[in-house]
Amino acid sequence: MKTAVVFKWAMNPADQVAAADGSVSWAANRPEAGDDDHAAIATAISAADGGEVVGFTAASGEIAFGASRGTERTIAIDGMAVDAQPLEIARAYTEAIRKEGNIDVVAIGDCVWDPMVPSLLAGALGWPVVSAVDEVKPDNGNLLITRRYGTGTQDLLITGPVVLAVSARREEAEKPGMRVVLQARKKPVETVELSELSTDTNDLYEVKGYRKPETTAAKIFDATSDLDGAVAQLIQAMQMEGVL
Amino acid sequence: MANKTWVIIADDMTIENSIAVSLEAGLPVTALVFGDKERASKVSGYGVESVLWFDTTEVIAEAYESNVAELAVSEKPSVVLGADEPTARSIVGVTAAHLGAPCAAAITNVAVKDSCATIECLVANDQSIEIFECATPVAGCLADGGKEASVGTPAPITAYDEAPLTSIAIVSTDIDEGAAASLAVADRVIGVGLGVGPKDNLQHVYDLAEVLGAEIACSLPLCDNYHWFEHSSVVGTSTQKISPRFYLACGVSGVPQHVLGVKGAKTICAINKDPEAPIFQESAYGILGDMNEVIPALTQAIKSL
Repeated sequence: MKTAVVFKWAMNPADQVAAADGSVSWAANRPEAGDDDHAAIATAISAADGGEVVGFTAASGEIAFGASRGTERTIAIDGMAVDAQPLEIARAYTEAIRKEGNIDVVAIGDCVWDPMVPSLLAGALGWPVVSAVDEVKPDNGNLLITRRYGTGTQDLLITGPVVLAVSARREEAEKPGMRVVLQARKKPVETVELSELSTDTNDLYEVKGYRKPETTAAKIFDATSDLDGAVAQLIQAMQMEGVL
Repeated sequence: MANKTWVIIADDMTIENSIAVSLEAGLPVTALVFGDKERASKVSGYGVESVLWFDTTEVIAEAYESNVAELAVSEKPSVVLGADEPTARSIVGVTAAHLGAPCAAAITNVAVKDSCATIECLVANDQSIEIFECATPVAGCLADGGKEASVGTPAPITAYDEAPLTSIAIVSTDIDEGAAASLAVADRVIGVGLGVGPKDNLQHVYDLAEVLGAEIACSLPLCDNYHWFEHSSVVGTSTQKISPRFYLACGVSGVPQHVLGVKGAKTICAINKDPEAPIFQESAYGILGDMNEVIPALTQAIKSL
């Protein structure tokens, strides 16, 4: 099976800076590898079962992230804006994947930074999507998917192309060492300009402004000067809230 | 355009919030419910105009992704919303792509007037609200927590009777009957973080949990680094989200990965010795102090009530 993995595609919201009036700007100019990316790459490799695994990413920063974890080639999209909307991102990777051709499975992190992109990608490809994926195993031409389900897991069998939104349970156990990364940088990278991908940019929203969220400052009781008093105040608050 | 809002509901935790935000768009709401008849009946009582029920007792909801997308292309809802949970996101996103609908996440408010939608969503780690406009249709997933719908006159329920367009077979289901299951339904939860210090201090937490009738959750490091808890006790973005009536964060700093797992809680309180701890920004009430001094005092005070 030939599979694709989309990695290092999402901007980290920690890099969005909110001013006092609520207006927002980006402190970074490129996506970061997300917490789920390593698991998405492992999933794509597992699904490929010895077949080719192609990485798709944004053309900036450490592009060898995928190659150092097992992808053979990387296709890097250049020109995506830092404030690209989820539909724009999904369409760009859809077109890049279609252009590559013959992909059977796409794995992508089930990313909290931009949670709608995996399912938009699936919809744009015309494929189903399964989210919260733990792992996959090839099974006689089908794919056996283990996903999180309620408080446990569920095993599913699917035939045909699918997008897998992978959710890592833990941090990457062993990051590639410098030697592996240096070797990975020698693997082929093809850069594709966003403008070459013919994505429709008509269905987008227009940002009109920002404001600060309504927040009620927490009532903090100081136990460092009066432990019993602070505890009594918290209990009173809990009773008012109907908790006690 | 059908001038309706569709809300995708595939779990029980987020029903009230999903419907509340959907109703505020100002259009009649059709709830597309994935689950058993009991869930459909529950949803029907929250002020929606109608319920379209997909029976997923033997078929997974995701098998209906294309069905919903095709139905949306045919019926043209103005707004398609769902909770930020895997199944709802899957269905909303696939539908949005088929509709060519602009899509956002962490939506807190939707208003539609004359085929123009104004959407508000949380950005910058919830430090700001972004306001955007677009022509309908528009879609997205909702921010956790927030307003809740009130009970109203039950709406009619129609069972969806077409076969799913995607073939996804369920091979097996393995539900954790232990800690994770208990946390999922607990009314009160005490969360423990690295501020607990030595392992022996956990006894304070156990004592408090006993008098409160609370379950215990933990932050990821207490499981992964210290192995003091099983993975099923961890709450956060990579593990599980909970929405108890009351969440008491003890020695939890409040990093986004953990906070996102408990945002659905009705009342969040925190105990932390750091006045700058981010958890205080997420809490309604807090005690500034060492949790290992505060918790025994709190336990004793509750016992004395």
